Amino acid sequence: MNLSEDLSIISLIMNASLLVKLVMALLIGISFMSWYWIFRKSFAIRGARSRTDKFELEFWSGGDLNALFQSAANDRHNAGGMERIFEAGYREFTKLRGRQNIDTATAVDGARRAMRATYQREVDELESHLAFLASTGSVSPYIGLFGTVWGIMNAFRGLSNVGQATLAQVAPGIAEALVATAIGLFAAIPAVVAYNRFAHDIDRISIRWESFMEEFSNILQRQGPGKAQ
Amino acid sequence: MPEHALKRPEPGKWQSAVLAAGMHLLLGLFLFYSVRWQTSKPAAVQVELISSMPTVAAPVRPPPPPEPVVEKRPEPVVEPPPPPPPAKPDITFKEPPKPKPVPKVEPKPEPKPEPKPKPEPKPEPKPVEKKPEPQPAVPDTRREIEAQEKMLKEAMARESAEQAKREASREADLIAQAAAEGARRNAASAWGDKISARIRSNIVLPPGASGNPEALVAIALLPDGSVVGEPRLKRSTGNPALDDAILRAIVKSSPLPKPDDPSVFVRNLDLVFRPLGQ
Repeated sequence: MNLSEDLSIISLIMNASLLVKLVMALLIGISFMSWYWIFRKSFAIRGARSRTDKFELEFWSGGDLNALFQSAANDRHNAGGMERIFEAGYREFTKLRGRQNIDTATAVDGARRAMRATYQREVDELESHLAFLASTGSVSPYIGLFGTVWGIMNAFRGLSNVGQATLAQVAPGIAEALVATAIGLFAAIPAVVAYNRFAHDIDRISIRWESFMEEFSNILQRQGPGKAQ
Repeated sequence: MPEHALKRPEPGKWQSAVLAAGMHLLLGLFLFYSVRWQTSKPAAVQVELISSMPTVAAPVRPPPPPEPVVEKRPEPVVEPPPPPPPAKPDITFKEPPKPKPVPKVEPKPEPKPEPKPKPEPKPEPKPVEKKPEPQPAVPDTRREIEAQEKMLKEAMARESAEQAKREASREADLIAQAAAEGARRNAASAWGDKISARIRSNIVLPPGASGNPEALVAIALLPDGSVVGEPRLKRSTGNPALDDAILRAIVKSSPLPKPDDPSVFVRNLDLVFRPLGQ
């Protein structure tokens, strides 16, 4: 142990024992992935929200449902979740309505089921990888703590070889070990914050979609008899 | 349902990766520049001391103990009784060697410490020598009074006056010298205490050191108190590991404290050091 060496973060990491280094590497990987998903999810959620806004505006501006359906079906790769729900419901409704022996209520029910399925797929898509953020937030402090405990154990074991135990002999080891906890916390805190925020945002978007489904069913119900005949 | 096969838009895959990488780069830079505890600490000596002790201790063992211990021991025992001043100081000074009858008899003239106590025990042999030395004011007036008395007496008997004058001046001389010597001795012993305290705070005692061993170490000093070269051991404690520890501690406490009274400073200091003592 050389005390004159400065305790910069680099030397702290380099002097740590192998296990602590592994823990740090793992935590840095986790932290990188969690930040990656934080950015991706925030882009995805922002995109979903803006598309939902846009489609809601188009839908309630009183345009023709057929024209809306056409444009949604043509551009389905860029369509937002609400647009897809609308498309699935309307497609199912028109298909069912063409049949002879099917009344409007049944057609609306079918459309509803189709919308429900699409809705669930879309929400699932939006919620994917949120679990990763959640487990990063809860587990990475423990991983960091494990590295720290291990490093401190080593630091104290080194004391037994020296006759005079001073704080200066344990301090570098403890500082090294604590870096692991610091990295774990750095990974965990943003993950927890982002998870909570994203979960809330997705909740709000899915509520909007659900209420759109109800309203759209009503519209289909209303317009069904007239068109069916 | 065609929706299963739908290619979903995946916004910002690469953008996210780049942003995440940038995030960590930022954190790394922040940590790198903000976490620099104790950039340079002068504690390096301490560690070397601990680690190198066992290896150094072994080879040095043979030389020191034999001759000086036996030779020197009797000397301090003989000297202490005469001096009237209170405590025997830790420091002695190398001064131009004064004629010293007692030590010369001994086989070894080279280690002639403790010149201080001399004047008192043997004033008779060299009264004339002392006179030329500076005489403070107090003794002067006193001598004048003596002199006036003398004037009266002079008429009576020249020889007796001469005798009295010599007696008086010598007495005054002695008093002045004793006072100066006492002050100087106090300052010197205070300085010695300071140095000893400093060294004691830096010493790492080897295991098994006990009792109250005493070492005499010769240290060469610069005026700012830093130690020049290696301190030499003049008289061992009898425990080689302890001797080494003392020498290392002296080097380590290198700018030694300066004396309060600059006149006490000497370049070649003989320090009596008791590592375990009071």
